Amino acid sequence: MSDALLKIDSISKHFGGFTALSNVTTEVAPGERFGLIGPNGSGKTTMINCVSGLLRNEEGKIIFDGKDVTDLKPHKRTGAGIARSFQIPRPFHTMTVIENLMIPAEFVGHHRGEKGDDRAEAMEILETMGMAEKADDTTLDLTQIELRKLELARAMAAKPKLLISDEAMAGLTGQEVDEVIDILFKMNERGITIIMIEHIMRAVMRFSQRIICLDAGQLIAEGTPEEIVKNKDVERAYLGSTDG
Amino acid sequence: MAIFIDLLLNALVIGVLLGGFYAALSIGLSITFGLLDVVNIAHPTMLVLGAFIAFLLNSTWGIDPVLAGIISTPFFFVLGWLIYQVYYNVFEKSGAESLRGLAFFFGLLFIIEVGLIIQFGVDHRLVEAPYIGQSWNIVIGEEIDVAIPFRLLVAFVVAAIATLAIHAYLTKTFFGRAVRAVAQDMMALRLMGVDPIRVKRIAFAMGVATAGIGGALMIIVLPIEPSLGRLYLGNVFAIVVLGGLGSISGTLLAAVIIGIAESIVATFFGPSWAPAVSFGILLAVLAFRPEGLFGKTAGAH
Amino acid sequence: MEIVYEQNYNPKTADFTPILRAANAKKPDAIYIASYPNGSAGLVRALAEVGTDAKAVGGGMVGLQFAGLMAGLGPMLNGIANYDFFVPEPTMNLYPGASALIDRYQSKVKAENLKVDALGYYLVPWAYANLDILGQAVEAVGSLDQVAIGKYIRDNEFTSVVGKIKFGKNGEWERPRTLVVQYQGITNNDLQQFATPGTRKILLPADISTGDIQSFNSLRK
Repeated sequence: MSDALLKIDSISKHFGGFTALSNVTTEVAPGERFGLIGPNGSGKTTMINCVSGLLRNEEGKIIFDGKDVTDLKPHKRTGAGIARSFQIPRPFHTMTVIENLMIPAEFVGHHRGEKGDDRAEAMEILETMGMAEKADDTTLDLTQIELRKLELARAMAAKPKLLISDEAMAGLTGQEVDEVIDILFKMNERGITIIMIEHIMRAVMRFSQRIICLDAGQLIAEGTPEEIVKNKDVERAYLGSTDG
Repeated sequence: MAIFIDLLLNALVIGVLLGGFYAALSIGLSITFGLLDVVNIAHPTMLVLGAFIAFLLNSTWGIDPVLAGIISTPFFFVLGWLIYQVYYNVFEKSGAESLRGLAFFFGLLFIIEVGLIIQFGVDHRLVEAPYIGQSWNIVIGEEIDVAIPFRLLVAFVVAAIATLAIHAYLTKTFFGRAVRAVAQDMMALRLMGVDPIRVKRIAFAMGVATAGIGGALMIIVLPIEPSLGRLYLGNVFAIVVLGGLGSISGTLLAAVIIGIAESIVATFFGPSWAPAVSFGILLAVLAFRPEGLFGKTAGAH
Repeated sequence: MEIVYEQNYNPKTADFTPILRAANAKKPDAIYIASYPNGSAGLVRALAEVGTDAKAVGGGMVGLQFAGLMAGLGPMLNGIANYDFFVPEPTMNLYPGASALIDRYQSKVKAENLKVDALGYYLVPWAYANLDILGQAVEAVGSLDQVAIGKYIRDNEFTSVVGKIKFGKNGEWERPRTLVVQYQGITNNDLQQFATPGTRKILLPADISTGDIQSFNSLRK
């Protein structure tokens, strides 16, 4: 697959003597819904931090959209089309909902030299999330599900080609989980490639076309949801070693 | 009764004007400390530097002090740019900004002060302008007239324009929004296509730039000498905290509240209490609203 | 004498008009001000902006003797009566070497661009006299015996740039020599006018007086 949107080419990341990621290689195709799973501490977050640029991998390369972004700063990667939502919502709390969206919208637009009505675009994103009427509220007044939606909306406002959704559903009710999955499906239908990192297996299995599983910094399985469910290594990773 | 009304009206008018002046002294700190979390305790001394530059331009070429302040503002922008560059590379980058950064600005304070002493000596300096020492008398009734000193009026008008312009810039422009966001969450900002260091550098430079015009207003209102900054250090921090960290309009309003309070107290209760009033108000407000008058609560962070 | 208003101000005071208004409201005949340079300048400006009906204003205002503040405040000083140590009035020239000392000081400051008081009337003659007396005493005693020098200074009269000096029992001058001067006839902010006689008339001591006190407002405008 030479035309992959994101190529992760044998990356490794160490913290002191601890190896957080060891020689991980994978690819994400344009328009793909890609699941990333693994037990706590398996290196999921380290991997996406390397992709979004918050961490630098010491070895290996990250190719995005045909360009080597390994040495690019995070804001440049966002400009190039990698957006990310946070597990714990981190809105700018002194600003209104719409202002929270305007920052990425305007800066990425500025970065790419695009001229457009950023406010209208931001409103449109809020509408697809069902949050249009909250546009001028401060983020302090939002509920937990609204904060999660805001995280996704803010990532969307950066007009990404690739959206990394980092545990957007943790702690939500079953109905709310479905709501978020629907939003992610809608984004994907617009052509945005999505990497979903999730602990809620039901969600990641329903959403993803392809899944990889990390354990102790290594890629241990890759395949369709059906294949992953049956994979013994994945089971072992989640349930602990069964052979003594 | 007429005398009381006369005193009260004058105290209110002077208080509002004085508040505008205090806002001019505080607004830069409201940006650097309030929005960016950089404890620039050298800010009042930078104002004194601005005042001396206004003095130099005024005494050498007879340039109007307000114009002198406008001329020196770009110089302070560059100065702020350079200071942040050093501060970021030496302290902030390694996460050592809290205590050592404070020491850095403390050192900067003394370097500027000593530089001023070497260059200008320790004497008090004043500027000349046609509006200094003149006032506008508005006769309202028998025994009631309001005198508006022009030097305070000029300071108020210039401060109000500068404050409103900065407020508009921070709320209406995309760069301004990023400035407001940068102290809250640099990491999140990075992932939205914004280089937080660049944002902080420019915003810090803006905050320091206010020392150009603010310093000019300082020497219009009162005589200056190199160590004057230290005298106002407490007041400007009190105003920024009272207004609410991160709120430019809050800073302006807090400054006016302090100005009025000081002027009323000086008129009716004795001037020695007046400067204590700002801290009294600050303590009272913080007891009920720890985030200041217009600050927003930090939420979960 | 009845005191109708007495208040302290804080050195941080940025504007003195409320204080002056409060004082004016008590309709005082005279306003005595004991202030440091910031307050002195602030009060002089407040007097220009708010005015007063008091007949005499001034007293112990530190700072108005400095070249920088005198030039900066200019005509706003008119009418204020204040203490001083040395002014370029004709009666001060009676002292041997006084004007020569001032000339030397002023030309040195100018030539070397020194960051000190440009005129030097306020402190230079006294500081000079201080060391001059010590020098005379050392020479007269002929040794550095402090007790002997001290006794000589207490017992003898000296002549220096500030006139004849004899110390009284309390260590102060036997006859006080601090001046009270009244600012007048100041028309602009030119520093040189303070280097010529007439802008600061000596009211006291009487033997070297060059003018009589006039009411504050009669000297304004």
